Amino acid sequence: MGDPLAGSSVWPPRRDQMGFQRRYDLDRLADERLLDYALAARAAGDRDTMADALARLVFRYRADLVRRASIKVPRADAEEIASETMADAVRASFRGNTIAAFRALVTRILRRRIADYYERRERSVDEVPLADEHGDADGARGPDVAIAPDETAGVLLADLVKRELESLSARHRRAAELYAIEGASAAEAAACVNAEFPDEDPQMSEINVHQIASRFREDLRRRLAEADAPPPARPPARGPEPQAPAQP
Amino acid sequence: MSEVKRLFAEYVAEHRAGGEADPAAYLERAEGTDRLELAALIDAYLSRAPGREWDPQAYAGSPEQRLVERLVRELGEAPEGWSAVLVRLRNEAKLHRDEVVRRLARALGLAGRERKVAYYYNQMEHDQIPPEGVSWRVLDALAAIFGTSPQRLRQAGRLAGPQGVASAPAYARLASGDLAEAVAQGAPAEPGEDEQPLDEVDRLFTGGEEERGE
Repeated sequence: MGDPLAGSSVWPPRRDQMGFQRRYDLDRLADERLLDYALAARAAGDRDTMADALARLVFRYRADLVRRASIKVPRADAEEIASETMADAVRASFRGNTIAAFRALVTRILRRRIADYYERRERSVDEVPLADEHGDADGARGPDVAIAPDETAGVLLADLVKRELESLSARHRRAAELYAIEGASAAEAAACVNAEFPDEDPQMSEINVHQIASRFREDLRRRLAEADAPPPARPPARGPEPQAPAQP
Repeated sequence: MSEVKRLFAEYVAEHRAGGEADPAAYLERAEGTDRLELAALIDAYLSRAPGREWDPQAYAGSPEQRLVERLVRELGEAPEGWSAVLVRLRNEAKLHRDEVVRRLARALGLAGRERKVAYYYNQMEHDQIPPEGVSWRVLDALAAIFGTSPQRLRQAGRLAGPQGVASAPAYARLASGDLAEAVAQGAPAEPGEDEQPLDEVDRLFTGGEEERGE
């Protein structure tokens, strides 16, 4: 996102500059600058401007956080997880933590909140009566998560994608990111990679991009299948030694 | 084109067009590892997608607006550190700083060490001492003097934090009364300054928080 104030020598802005910034520039401020701005507004006692800055930040990301969370948890819970993730991220910056990369912070919090969700759920399973004890076994409720609970339930799937990308060389990683994840065409991905790695010979072709992406997907599927496999069964607890049948 | 690839391309197109782009609507069209792969690709895509462009009409009345209103209510007040809280409590209690120091020293079993206690207490009143170094014993004693809770004092210290450590001359400018003068003249060295070992007063004000539930 473009930052019209990048390199500005005056930051945070003085209070008398805030009105101008609010009207013209807030929409284009980078995340971390919006947070700085909201903090400066609070310090100046200007809660309206603080709200304006936070509105841009929350509006920018909350909807996608709901979507991400809804991959892992029921929609109603996803709404709450998304809101609390944004709230935690904003609180962290307002409590004096230095926020170098707001989006990375948001992803860390989302990961933790989803893991917590499943831990709580696991804990409560033992305490809650089975569904059919409530007469709820007729299937009327349907599945309550987008993906049926599995071994990857409490894991952010983007983390598995990231790990697979990290196993590639920098050039191949970039091609896979652009084409397989970010939705660029093969031609766009090849042109972008060639611009970013101008000294590489030979240059990347569209066919190369297709091949890299295809291998990436195969490896990703393998990684996902492995992650989704149930853990190996524990060896059965050792019971008493079998008794020899009694002699008649 | 594989089914996963096609569904993912459709998803990206809908998201970019500003549509609802609900992952569930796409995931229910795939099964097994295909569904897992599609979910992973969508999650990775969303983690990188540029955020929504600001739209004041869409914002009005949205869950985003409700969240921002909640955050502004919660965080809108500038945090008050010890410099604000201790001075206000002391004024409410109608106590001179010297009297607070005397009571504090007595409560800590440090009668006769008022000069050094005054030095540190003054740093607390000016947010000039790392709050994590001040022990619960000190906060318990101050809380009893001011009729507040030690947890509240701890929280206030954490919110503001130190602005820098005051020197003895700075203290002399800021403080007043006999104790201040005593401190300025025979100023007990700041911890570490004269390489004296830390004594009990130093430890109580700089030695750190003991384990304690809040």
